[in-house]
Amino acid sequence: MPFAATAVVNDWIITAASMVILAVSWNLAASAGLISLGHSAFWGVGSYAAVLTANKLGLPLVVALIPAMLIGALLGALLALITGRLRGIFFAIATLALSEGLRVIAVMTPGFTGGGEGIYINPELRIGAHWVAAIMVVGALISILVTWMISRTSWHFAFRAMRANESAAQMLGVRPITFRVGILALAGAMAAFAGGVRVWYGGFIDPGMAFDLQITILAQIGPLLGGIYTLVGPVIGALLSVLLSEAARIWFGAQGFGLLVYGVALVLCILFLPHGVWGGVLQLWTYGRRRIRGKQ
Amino acid sequence: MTLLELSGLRAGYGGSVVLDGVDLTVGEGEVVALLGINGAGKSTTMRVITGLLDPSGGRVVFGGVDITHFPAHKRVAEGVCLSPEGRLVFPHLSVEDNLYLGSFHPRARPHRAESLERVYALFPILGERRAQKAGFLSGGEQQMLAMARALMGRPRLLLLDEPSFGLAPLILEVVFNTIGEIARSGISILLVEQNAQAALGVAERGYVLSEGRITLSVSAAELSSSSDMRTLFLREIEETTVPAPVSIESKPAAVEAGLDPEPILQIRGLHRTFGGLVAINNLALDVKRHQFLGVIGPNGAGKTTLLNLITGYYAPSAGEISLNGQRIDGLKPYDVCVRGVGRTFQLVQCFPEMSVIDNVITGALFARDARISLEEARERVRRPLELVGLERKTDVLAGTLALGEQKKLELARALATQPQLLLLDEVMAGSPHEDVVELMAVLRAIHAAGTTILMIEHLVHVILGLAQHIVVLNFGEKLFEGSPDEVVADPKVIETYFGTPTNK
Repeated sequence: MPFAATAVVNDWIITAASMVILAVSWNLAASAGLISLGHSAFWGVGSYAAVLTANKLGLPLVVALIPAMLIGALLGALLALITGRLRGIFFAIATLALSEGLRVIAVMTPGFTGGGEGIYINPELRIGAHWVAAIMVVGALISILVTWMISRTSWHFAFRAMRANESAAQMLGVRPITFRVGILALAGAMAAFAGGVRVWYGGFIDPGMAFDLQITILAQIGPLLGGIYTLVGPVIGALLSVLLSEAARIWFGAQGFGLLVYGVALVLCILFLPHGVWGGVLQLWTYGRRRIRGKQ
Repeated sequence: MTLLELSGLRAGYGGSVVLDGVDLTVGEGEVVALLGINGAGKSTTMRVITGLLDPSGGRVVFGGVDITHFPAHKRVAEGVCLSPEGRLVFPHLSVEDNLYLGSFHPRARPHRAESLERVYALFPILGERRAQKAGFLSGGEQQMLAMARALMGRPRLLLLDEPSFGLAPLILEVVFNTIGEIARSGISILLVEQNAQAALGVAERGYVLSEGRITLSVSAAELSSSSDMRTLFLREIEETTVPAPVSIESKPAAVEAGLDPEPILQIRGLHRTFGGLVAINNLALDVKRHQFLGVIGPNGAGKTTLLNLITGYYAPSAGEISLNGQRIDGLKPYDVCVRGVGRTFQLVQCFPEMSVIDNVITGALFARDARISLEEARERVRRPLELVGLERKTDVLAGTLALGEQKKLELARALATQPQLLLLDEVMAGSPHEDVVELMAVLRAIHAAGTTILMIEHLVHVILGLAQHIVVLNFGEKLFEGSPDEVVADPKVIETYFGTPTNK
């Protein structure tokens, strides 16, 4: 396979595609006003569900992803029902608590999850990194396709109305809980898919890795960098963030300084492109068109 | 002596130009009115003067100091205080804490007690409710709080953006008398106001703003008599009898003769309290099918609370509400909507980041159990948008519309839900005279097409000109009900609501 030329390239592809899925999933929930600080919860249950069902039943990766996504969707729907009408910061804190709670449960149930020592995938089930990369890329494409399809339905209207004013939206017949359950189930399934595939690449999972706060943060960087609430923005942002972090790592070495440069670049981007890179491109486009029209 | 001078002021949002070279002065101790149609740039001018929006050109000079690029808080310290459009009180703080925040800057802080005494003397109702959360005040009381909060900052220049918004006639009179008193105490006032008659009653000079430029600058007396002004802004008494468009009978004879005896909405023993305060007290009310019902009453009478109870935003403490014979109390707003009730809000609640047409499409999409396609929704919203006159602004972001236009957008959005019963909460507020006349015709047409309407409105000539039947609320109870003629003749209603005997 041409793209599987080196281990490094596989690593990049897997990281980039998983970041795209996380960004798209996070942005989907955010577009309805549901700001998640617990995306690692979906990622984590996806990882565990894939590994545990595979090890128990000897399932190959593609099959193990089905229970992973189901569990992710179930967790999303459950989150929507439990949080009820919580909005904004209250919803965000509830998601943070969910992720942290799941991490503690994973540590406390060693018989089931392997506890703090973690758990390995049955080596016979593991596949080549290029296959893992291919599945992750397909997943990323499907997740983009799904959000594009949603943007062409009435859901797109309900989401934006809920984000702006959930109370007023109700007077137009929008039933918030329906859409909350739907959107969080979908976002949960997406993030769980990414978590499930990623664990196949590493072959090992422990509670700290599965429910890592960094996953939550990375999920938000893409949309913020690329352009929140847009279709293209999270994709551009996720790819750009991977590019930035890899470039910083290669040029400045793995430690300290590279991370600092990466962080500074992110802050600058967010400061000077408040609508993200995609928002900046659109602005330039309208500016250019106006200039041309002005000259005519 | 000149206190405020704007010269060549230019400003806008994103790429759009709203102010295109505004020149304006306010003298020491002078009251100046800034008039103009919706979207002329009045509120934008206020935003630039207060420092909430940075101008792209021109200068703002205050008391001889160039404050063009001063941050907002520094301008307050200089003595520029704003009572903003839409009140913007802090809903979770008590009335007194809101007022305290008005005197936050060092120049005003030492005089807090004295200022507090003064604003309580001006607005006694605020003194009575000082410990209550501002969010529990009625719309009109919040308006008073916003003005009082601005006064707490010991302004040299008081900016009032639509102070008449949501005020009952009696209070309107009090507030404008108060504005006169404030002016006599030596404070300069710049007044943005749709109620031009009231504004020119207190102002010495007036400016007319049109498409981001000052087009007229004369004394108030000249402005009142100018013929353009009369047709554009002034609310004349004849309006009560504005003839409806020929095609529409204002009160269709068939409807008049035989209102369906079965009420579409029936309310019995309705009761609602907020933390010990009785907002609605044992209210019984029938809205007959095809009726145009007006609800009036002083600020804080419980009018908006009544709408919130009908639409499920509040649950009643006791009592029953039935729509078409079925109980709807306890239902959520979306279920009430699906059963055929549409409403607009007192403070506009459109979706600012969505375009005008997308706002209305949202109304068309979800209001029925049977979902319709996007194409069908797009088709269905054309008529409501034309009715309210926004058909040429369909792709504009709702948040950039002027207040009166946002009110119209909300009306179009409510119409897109195809309601049997339409509840309107001061839908005319923020609209200039010309639009009010148009909107009255629109509401007549909607009513003639078979929609039952319950309307809350403080513009007396509007409610008397439209409603077939009027209910007067006071302290959450029904004070009086009857035909418009009976209402204006009732001494109790005159005393609690109109203030002066009205022959309007």
